[in-house]
Amino acid sequence: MTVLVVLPLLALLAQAVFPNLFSVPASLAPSTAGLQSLASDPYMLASGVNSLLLSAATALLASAIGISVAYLIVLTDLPGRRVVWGLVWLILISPSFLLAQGWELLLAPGGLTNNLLGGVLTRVLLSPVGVTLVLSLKLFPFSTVAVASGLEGLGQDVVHAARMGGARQPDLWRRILLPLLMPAIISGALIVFAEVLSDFGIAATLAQTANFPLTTFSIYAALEQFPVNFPEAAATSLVLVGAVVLAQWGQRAIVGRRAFTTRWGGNRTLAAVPLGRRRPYLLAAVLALMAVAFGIPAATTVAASFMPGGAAGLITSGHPTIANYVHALQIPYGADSFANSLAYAALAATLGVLIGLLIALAWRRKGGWLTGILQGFLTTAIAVPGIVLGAGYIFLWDMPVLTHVGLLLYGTPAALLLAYIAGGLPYSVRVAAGGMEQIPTSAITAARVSGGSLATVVRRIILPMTGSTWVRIWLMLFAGVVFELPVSQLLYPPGGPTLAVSIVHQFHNTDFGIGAALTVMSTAAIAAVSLLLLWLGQGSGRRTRRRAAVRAGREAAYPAPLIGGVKGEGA
Amino acid sequence: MWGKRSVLLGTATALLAMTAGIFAADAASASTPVLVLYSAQGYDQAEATAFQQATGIKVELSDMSTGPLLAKVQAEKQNPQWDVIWFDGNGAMSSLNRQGMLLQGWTPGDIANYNSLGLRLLPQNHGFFPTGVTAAGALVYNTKLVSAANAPRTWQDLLKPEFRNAVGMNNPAISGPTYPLVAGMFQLMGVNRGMSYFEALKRNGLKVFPTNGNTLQALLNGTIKVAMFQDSAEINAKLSGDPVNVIYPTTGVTMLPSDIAINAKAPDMAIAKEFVQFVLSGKGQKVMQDIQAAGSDSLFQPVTKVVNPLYVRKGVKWNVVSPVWAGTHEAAWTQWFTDNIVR
Repeated sequence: MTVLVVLPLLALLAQAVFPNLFSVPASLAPSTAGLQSLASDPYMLASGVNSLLLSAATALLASAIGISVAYLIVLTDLPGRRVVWGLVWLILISPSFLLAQGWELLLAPGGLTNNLLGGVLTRVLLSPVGVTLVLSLKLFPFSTVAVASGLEGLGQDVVHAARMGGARQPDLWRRILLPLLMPAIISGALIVFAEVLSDFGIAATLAQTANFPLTTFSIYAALEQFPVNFPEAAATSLVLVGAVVLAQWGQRAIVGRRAFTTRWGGNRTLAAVPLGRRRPYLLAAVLALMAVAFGIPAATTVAASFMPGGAAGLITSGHPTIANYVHALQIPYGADSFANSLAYAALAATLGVLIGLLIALAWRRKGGWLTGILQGFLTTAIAVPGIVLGAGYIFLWDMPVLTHVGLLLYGTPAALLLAYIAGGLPYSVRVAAGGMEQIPTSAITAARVSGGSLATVVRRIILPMTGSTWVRIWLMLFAGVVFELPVSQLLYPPGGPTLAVSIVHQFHNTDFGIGAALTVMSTAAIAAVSLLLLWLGQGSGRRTRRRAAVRAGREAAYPAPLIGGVKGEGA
Repeated sequence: MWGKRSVLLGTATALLAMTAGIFAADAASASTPVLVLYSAQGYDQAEATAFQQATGIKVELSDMSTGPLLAKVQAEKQNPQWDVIWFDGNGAMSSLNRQGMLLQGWTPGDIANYNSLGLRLLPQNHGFFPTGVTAAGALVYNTKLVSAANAPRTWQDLLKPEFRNAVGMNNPAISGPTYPLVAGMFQLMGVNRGMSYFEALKRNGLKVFPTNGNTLQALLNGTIKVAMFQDSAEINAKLSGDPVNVIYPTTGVTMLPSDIAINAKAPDMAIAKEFVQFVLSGKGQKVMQDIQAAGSDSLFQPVTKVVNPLYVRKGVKWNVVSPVWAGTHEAAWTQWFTDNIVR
């Protein structure tokens, strides 16, 4: 992990203080010019504050939406829960430029909102409030996925028991669900927080139009100007790193060192929590949410993909045509790049899950300051924009020293793969750690005491109890890689472009229709793969959970001391 | 259950085969000489394929926007991996040339193909070679929102009250062709008056978008009525049926050369030279004009005698900006623009 995440990040960040670290000739002479320009520039300061406020507000709103949706689809009798789950996944895997584009079109003068509401909505949305809203609608699935895992471990029994004990809805949430789910909630919120900090798509479009400067924009500007200003980009990235460190302190203050075991032998799925009279209203609310978050922006891009010019999407008149699709299949590397991205994504997701599992296991066993630091580094890595990470990789892997020893990693598929794994690891470990927190230590201790190897523990306890979590992490990593742009652009092996590189090439050629067609086709393909996997994962997850429950029930028949100190742990 | 398992197995096998594909392709290329090309041109893929077919030499293309391309080249400074770079804007090119990063003093065999424009743009030390030009910025307006009679004719027209909050351009810190547009204005009007011009535009509600695509989209969906960005993208929109019209102000437009250059320490020097030669040949120039494959970049104004332009720019007056002058001020003026116009 040090090699994957820590070193490349340091290779760039160090240039905030050592601007000539990778110059020709290299030098270790320190300079504080980069940091000084940061401190003395009111605009930079304002962007930093904006980024921080926006991330915090979005993390709150996205968590509120995400938790509600997770509760409704995991525990209640809401109709069409599986469809809603599918839609949540669609939002998660959709490339953010697809959604951003839809919103831009929606908010344009002469666009839909203007005609309907006379520009009131446009004014509201083209503001920090609107930016928060749009980002929350895109990012709430991170929270839903994290919280759903926790809720599944909890089971409906808790809710039934609380209701039987006379608890009202607010009490149920305040005194039972929220406290028990806190680690999962915080995991989701932290990912959203860091995602917003590193987002460029919205920072460059909607936020710019709304006159709401954000830090990522300054970082991209510093990296894309000529001559490139690595020290300034590094110094600015430090602001984001600082923000995430602050957020993690906040997490510690809230979560503390309590234990959060929610998966115990006995939880059963007896009956869904009935929603009663509120059922139709809640269903309508969820469907409206999905329509706004996914339906409208997606429909816009689909429409654009069938338009001759394509750039104007719904506005240009013209007869619908499939020419863009025909063309998209013919362009050099269109299909190849898609296959490349699928392969990278599958491989990176699989390895990311495996490494995530190992790290989560190691942390569970040790704990301590080193774990704390590494954990901190991982979340920090989400907040650092991809282009910064990509530049860090070039500095590290293209060092002449490596060529001398014959280690030619840079420019190979392996380098890009490693970068993808590094990018996905923070998510993998975050969500995995949340899921692992819920396995009672007693179960693991008992297995180890009775002579089970680590492999047995993983196979018989951890995987059965958290199986669906791993499927979801896999999908999250998979979708993240398929449409990844900034790192791909900088690191893809020459001659082997990835999907996002191909799509951007079409947009560069102002072939918007072809770009839209490629986007639609690939999103549809990824959606198919995801839904298939979810279907596979759901069945087996339910089955193995049932089996684990039976097994745990059997174990519970034995006197407590035999299976370890159930009471004492984690206090 | 068996059904699910076989689906899973099938999917896993397919993915494994694809994975083997990406690594095998890379391993196969390791043994034979290949040309590593970093490019930000729409026609780069078509050109690479044509070269491969003509010579049998494999081209490994790294296609990206100009910004990341230059960042990548500079991050690789200690250990460059590329043979040839190809992008728009000779400010950055001449700066790399002055730093000694480009091969100098070599003359391609088909240099006689250059027309007078091409010879004028060729640096004396032959550090890089022009391959075509476009205008860094011409005026373009939405014909549904602005009548031909009210269309802007000069740069000053954009300051009129009727275009308040209705003018857009790209951000020079993000969009490759836009710094030359700004530098060109500074040369045309003088630096101080050029700055005042952009400040006046800003007071009139100028909107700054990231790149050509965003600005064009804003123009078509009515966020703005008039814009200035790279003319090849403007012409392409017009040719593909979007409701826009392109106007070249009589005071002139800034010429934006596309340049190609060889790494001074190119790992595969011989084939790098062969590639540049191919691009400047009649065949190579024709490939650059394959608009089906290359999109708007094909609408360049040729700098060779061997091809005719795909689109005739009527009555255009070219302003040529000194690349050394523009290059030395690039960091400062982009910063000025960011501080005073974008914010």
